[in-house]
Amino acid sequence: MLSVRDTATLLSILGDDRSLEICAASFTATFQRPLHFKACCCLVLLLEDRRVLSQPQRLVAFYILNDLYRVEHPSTNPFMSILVDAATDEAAEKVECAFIVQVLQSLNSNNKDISRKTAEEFISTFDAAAYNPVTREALRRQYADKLPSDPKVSSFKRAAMNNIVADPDIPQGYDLDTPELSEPGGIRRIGGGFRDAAVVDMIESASFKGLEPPWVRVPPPRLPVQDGEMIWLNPENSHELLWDHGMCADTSRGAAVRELIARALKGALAPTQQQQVLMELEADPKLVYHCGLTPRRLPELVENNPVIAVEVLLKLMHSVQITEYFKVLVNMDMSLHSMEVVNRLTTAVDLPTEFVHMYISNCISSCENIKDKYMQNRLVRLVCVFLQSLIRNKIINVQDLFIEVQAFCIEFSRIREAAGLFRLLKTLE
Amino acid sequence: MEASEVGSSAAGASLSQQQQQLQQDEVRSLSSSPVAGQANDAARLFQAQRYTECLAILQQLLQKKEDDPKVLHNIAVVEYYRDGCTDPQKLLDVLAKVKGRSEELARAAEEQLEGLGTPSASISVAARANASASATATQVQTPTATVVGMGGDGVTYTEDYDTSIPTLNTAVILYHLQQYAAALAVLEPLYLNIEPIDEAAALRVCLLMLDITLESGQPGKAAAALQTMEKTFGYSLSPAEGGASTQSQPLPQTQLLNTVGTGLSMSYSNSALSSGALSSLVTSQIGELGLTRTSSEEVLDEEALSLSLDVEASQGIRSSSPVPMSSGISVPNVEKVLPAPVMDLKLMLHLYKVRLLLLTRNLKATKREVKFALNLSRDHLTALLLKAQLEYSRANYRKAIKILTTCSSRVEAGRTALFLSNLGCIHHQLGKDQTAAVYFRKALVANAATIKESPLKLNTFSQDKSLAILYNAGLQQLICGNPLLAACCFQEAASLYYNQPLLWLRLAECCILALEKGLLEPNVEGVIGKRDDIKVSVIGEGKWRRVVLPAGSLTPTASTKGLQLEPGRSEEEGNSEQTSPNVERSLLPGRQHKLSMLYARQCLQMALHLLDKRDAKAAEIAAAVAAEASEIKEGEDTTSAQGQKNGICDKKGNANNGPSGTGSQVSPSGDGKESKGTSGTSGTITAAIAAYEEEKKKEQILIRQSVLTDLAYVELCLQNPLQALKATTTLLSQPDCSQMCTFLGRMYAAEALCLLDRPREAADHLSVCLVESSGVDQSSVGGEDDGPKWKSGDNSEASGDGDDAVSISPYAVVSGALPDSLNVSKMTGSRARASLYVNLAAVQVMQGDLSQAQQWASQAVALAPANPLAILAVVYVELLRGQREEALSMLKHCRHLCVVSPNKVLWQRD
Repeated sequence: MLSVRDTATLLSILGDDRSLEICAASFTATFQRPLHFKACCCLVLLLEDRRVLSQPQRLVAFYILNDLYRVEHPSTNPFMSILVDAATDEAAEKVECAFIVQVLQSLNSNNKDISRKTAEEFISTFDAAAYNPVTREALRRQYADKLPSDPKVSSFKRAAMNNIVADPDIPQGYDLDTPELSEPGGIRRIGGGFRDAAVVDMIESASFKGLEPPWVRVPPPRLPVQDGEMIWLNPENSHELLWDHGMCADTSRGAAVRELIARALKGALAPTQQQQVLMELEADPKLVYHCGLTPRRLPELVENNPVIAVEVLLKLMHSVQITEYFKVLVNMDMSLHSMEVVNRLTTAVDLPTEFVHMYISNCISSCENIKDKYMQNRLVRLVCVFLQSLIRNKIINVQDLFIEVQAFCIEFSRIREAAGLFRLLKTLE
Repeated sequence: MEASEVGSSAAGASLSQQQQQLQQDEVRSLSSSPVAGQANDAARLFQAQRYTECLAILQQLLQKKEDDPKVLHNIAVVEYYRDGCTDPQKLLDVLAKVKGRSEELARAAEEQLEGLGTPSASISVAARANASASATATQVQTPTATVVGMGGDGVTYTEDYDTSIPTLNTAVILYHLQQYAAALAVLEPLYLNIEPIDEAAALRVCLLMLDITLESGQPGKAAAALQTMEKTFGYSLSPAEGGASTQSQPLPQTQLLNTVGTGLSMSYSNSALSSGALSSLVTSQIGELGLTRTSSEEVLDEEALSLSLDVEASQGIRSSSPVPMSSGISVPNVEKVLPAPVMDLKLMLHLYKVRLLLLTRNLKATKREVKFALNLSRDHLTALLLKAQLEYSRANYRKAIKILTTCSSRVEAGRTALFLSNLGCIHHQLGKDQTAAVYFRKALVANAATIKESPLKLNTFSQDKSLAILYNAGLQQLICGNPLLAACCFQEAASLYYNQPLLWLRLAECCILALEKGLLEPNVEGVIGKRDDIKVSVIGEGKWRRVVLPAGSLTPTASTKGLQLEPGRSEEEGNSEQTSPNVERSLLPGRQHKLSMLYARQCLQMALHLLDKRDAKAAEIAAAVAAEASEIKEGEDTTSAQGQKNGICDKKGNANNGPSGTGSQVSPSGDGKESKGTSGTSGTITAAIAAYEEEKKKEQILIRQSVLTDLAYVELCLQNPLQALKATTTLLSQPDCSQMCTFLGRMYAAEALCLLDRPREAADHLSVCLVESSGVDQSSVGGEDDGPKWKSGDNSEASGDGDDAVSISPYAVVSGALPDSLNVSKMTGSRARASLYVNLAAVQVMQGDLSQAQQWASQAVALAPANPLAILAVVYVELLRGQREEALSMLKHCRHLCVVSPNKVLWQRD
């Protein structure tokens, strides 16, 4: 913390046997203001050691700690709490405590008596019997009351302790307190050592950090190699770029079919035309996707050319769009043609049952909602025939729709076909 | 198109095919304009790989049909091939332009068509009005139908402006660039509407879809693609078995495909022969190398260990030396053909199935499929390689090595890297980490040599497996305890695997390992130097002698120091929010970044972000599934409502609704179980996929826990106790957190709380630890649930430098030799308990209970008598209690006391 030379100066100031006032003055004279704090920290370090400084030196050190910051309010002295603690330390010498208390008291009064004494004088004139200890609380209230509250420091720092531990290296039976030299200027005793050198080392190796309670922070283990994390390599398949054969390709054939389909949306085709469309569709399985039909246009095709519609839908069975076509078909207006298309589809392929059910429900509700009596009769008869065909061909499971169909039959029991359907249902029961 | 794959040796086969094509074309061209004839000429020239002539014709065509997107497309493709596939980005741009133009034209055509409809309708206005009314009615009724219909219109209605080929080609290029996500995004719409596409192209779509999904690890989609293939091309499959009967196929496309297939397989066997003859000298060298490898495994091991770098370098050269030779001779032949010729489709399907099953780790079914595939073609290279992978997955490592080495004699130069890398994987599994590292390094050398030597081809980019090998190598280096090398590899590999949370976790682990090894800073300031020593210094002599104990924090917090070397970095450290641009920059793939704790934090946050993203995606999918289910339910509700309307008592309706509703909920899980029982492959595949998804989910959970644990540790090292506490809180709130993560999480939380001056809460955490870990000791000594998977924290077991052993534990050296399963005990066993006791002692001190602290400290020392931190804990507590003598005698008896002379004091002065 301090250079070797500064440390030596510091020790010489502490050893000065002139009055305390002069000691403090020479301290301020020697150390520049920026160094004050560090020097004081060194003093605290030496004081904490208890043994390394002699009694008078300790008193000088305490005096300096107080004197340096006396111009300001006692609470702003950064070492005030240390002084207070030292003054009330039960393990400390009584003279030391009394000294600090007096020094602190001198802050308030202008009593300069103590400053003019030397440390030796104070010790020699001290009367232990007359001293009555002061409690820490009292002192604290008086001098350290306005100390700013402890900032949030980590519990580690809070629990830190001085990391320099005395470890005297002396033969057994030797007293620690014997002087270093057997006689002034004489030879060094065994285990005497050099105090000043020790102080220099101490100050040199000192840090603001203390010995913190040790803590184990176990490093997290590596996540074990996961299954398949090591990448096993396989030769990749080569995918070449494709030539677009559609370039300048002859699309006349497709165009003809498209033309016919467009016409088929508007009206019934002539048998030869119809035959041509079916043949072309048969020849090219992909043509159906390019013939210009969309789900939206399906109803027109169904109404005008049910045969083509059936063929187209059969070709589209594997398409993803087929459900869209089905949805449209289910929801389109009921008619003979639409029923014919559905009927032929059911015989040709397995239609999704929910679609068939939905269609039947739709048919039934169409019959119920129609206002024109004549049309209604016509429709009901159609639906009944359609249902009978479905049931006979075992395309639907009647049990799934039993209630609905039965209700339908009862409602239209006046119509012969409905009665027939009802009888069919009864036989199946 | 396929003919471009065919080498000159296959000219005969392709010729016949061309003639056939020619005949077809002539039939067509009879009826059409000379333009069509020219187009056919161009196509033929393209197939004959005469690109310059082809381009000339195309240019003529372009003059006739200006701006025709298809001509432009073909020009771009031909130019790409002519220029040696050097500029995929340019091709992608052109393809995008062509697609845009086609769609534009298609829209125009559509409008025109609508316009055409009007005059005919004007004849019978009423009819048209009727029709349009019904059309709008359907529109209203089924809004979804019309939307899809509209979307479909673009594809279905305008054959002239079909964009399927440009789209497919875009996906092909992206696939070869290994941009699988992008490729999938392009290809999937095409795949979902595959029916309109002509068969040859549709087959390509399916195959590409399979490759992309398998490469990017999406077995669900791959299985769907397989099914589509079987459904769409299944009828052409069964007769294809006969081989001769293919000619009777009615569809021209299939015929074409099959002829190509046979032609190619012919040329394939041809070239296999020729390459065998040609490079007998070359391949024998490779074979020899392979043989020596198997026969003297152990020798290599020792070699590698003792000579380390020298051996690796020289062997790398040796293995790569055949590369230029063989590539010089046989490349034109072999390379053209070998990369997956369009073999028998059936065989290919089997191989895809094998890959799919391997991905989902259904080994039993895989075995069966491999057998099928090998029955079809006894020495099919890919099939054999897949068999090797199967044996590898089944832990039959010797067998896998055998298959690989027999294959490697047949493999051409470009593929040695692949074999070496796979051998590395096997040796990793065998626990021969150094050997594995050697193999990976050799694989990288071989790969680099191939890239340099071979001419650019379409699949050059996809053939470059360096990033995958780099990942393997990085992982292996991490296991071997070389964090710096490992990090280099991972950072390179990040350009492909940047969206894998695991990669970022591994990078963070590199940083942590580097910190443990003291590699982060040039001069380690750690108080406990090599971690095994307590450093003290002695000052003064005689009665003035003083012992200076370590000051400051004992945990590795010095790491911020390394960061202060870089100016500006330390400022950013304070406010993590503002670091994001910096994060972006430093996480750019392929950029080497210095390892530091800050970098570790960035990596971990990246991993967390990716995990969150995945979770969000999974949640989205789950929500979609749930919505679908509810839709079905609603449908049921409406039917039951209809039942009510029809006057049937609603009790029945409810009864109907109830069981069916629960039934639909049960079915997904029930399906999987049922299908396991069925012998059909599709059943096993779905079951395997379900199991795989489950496994993946578990893995994600594990990774997340690991990331959070590491994050807490890193934040502590960065002296951010608040962030560390946040990480631990998240960690501890994870469902089914592994025991070890819980333990570490609590320890880190306790430390963070102490740093925040909340020792009471810290004590709570530690006491929970105490209870839990005592339970662990009794319940699972074997540690089977999360045990064997975990390796100990010190990753130095394989590294030669015992001195740098990371562990604090005195047992580190011993346990390094133990198998993994025993290493676990370090986390739950005595070492963990000792550290727990040390920390408990500290917490008790902070709370002012010295006698309790003393008890904990002495327990720690009793458990780990040589653990320096335990000893230091005792010393500390004794000093605090004023028992200087005892403290000092304890210290002096410590085995790991390191006395430093006061002149060279190591710790820092502030």
